[in-house]
Amino acid sequence: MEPLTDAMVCLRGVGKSFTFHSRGLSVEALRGVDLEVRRGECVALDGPSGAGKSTLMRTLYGNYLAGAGTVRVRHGGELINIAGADPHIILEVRRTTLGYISQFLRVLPRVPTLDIVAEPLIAIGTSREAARERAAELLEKLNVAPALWSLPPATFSGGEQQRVNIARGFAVPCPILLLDEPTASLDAANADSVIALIEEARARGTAMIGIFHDAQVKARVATRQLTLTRSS
Amino acid sequence: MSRAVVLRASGLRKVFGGRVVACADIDFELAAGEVVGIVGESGSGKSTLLRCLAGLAAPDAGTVEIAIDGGERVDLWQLDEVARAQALRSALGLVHQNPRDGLKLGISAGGNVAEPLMVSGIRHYGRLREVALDWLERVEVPRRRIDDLPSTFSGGMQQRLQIARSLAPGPRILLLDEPTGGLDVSVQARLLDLLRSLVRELGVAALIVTHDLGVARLLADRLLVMLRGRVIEAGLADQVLDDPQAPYTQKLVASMLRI
Repeated sequence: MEPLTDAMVCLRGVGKSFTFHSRGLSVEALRGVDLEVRRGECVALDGPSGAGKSTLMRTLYGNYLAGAGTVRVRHGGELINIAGADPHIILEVRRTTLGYISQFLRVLPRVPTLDIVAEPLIAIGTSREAARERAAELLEKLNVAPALWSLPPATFSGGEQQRVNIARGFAVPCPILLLDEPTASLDAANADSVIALIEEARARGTAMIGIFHDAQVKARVATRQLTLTRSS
Repeated sequence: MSRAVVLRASGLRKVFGGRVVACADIDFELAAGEVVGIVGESGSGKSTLLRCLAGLAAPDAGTVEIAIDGGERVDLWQLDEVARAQALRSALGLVHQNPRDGLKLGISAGGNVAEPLMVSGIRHYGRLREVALDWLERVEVPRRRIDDLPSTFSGGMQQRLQIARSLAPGPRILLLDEPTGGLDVSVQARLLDLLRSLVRELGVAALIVTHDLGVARLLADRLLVMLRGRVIEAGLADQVLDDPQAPYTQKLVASMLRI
């Protein structure tokens, strides 16, 4: 089956098993997953815990190696198969095309919040000034108090760190965005501001795939759903 | 999409005493501006490999090509000693685990930074001092320490000075051997942060040997995993750490402390 001409993401027969050599054990996490996502769509991954939702997201991002099938994403004009791509190509796709927003912030200890958010923009050639301006705008939208912007987020509360991470994830307007429970552990007001960013991204045509445990959040942002079942 | 290759090792092999294989069948490329980590336990051949790449130990087989001025690549171990020293001086910086191995302990901090610049042709004293001061500032050594001997510095400050000394001549390639090895954890964080921003700012390609997977995750774009002198796994840094394939890499990752 050829992908739709306007598909941003196209998965065909994606499978993934984990082999644990020390225990002589192999666990199948994904089998035969097909999915196509177009511009402006937001697909919610659904299914019980252990069905492979996170595994699928990580395989799409190149963080896990796909065991079978193709994982194609539209980068510039062409579809690139992340499964088996050269690491340099995956890194380039991540910089400009494929964003990943998880709940957890992983950064070096001494970098100020504003620079953490601005960094992905600077990495693709945006001027420091413009990048910081955009970073400030995002932090403001996510209710991170300006007094915190010059501090490294290591000592921030969990919710604050999560919002810094989300701001960083939205800094570069990637045409494809992976959202791993972006509103987990946020209060209603803060979750609202995240949802607003997701809706904005969708309106400008971003193709999104996400895991949303909160049913209300899912109902607001998802345009359709893909249900995974335990494959073994 | 392809970036210029600044260093290429092909079929590299180093044997000690005729039978201890320190490195074998090593093939890899370092592209301009990327950071590659080499991980593995002590005795896996990481440091020997680095010594072959840095011109400190002659390999028994294989080639090491490095890009010199103008982008042309030369085969390091085919050059005569003088030409090799010259190619290394302009193209490659080396940071030793122990700063005392990379610094001249008998000359001042400023002298340590300025010396490699003098060798490459800058002679004007005022200009050298200016450049040295600028580098001290970039590696967060107080300017007023410029005339002090490195032996009066703390370990972390010595390591930062060594980094300044190796980067000042503007190499395209930086090789680092366990650069955070002998430092306190609090000092390590500062050094890692500094290394990361310098490498990005200067666009220098870095190859960093470490047994610390946390360091590898924070700094490296790609990883090579070594075991008994061979590269047994290679890939995107986060992929190798989160989805390791080889039994040894799985063991290595599983033994890492999660904090």
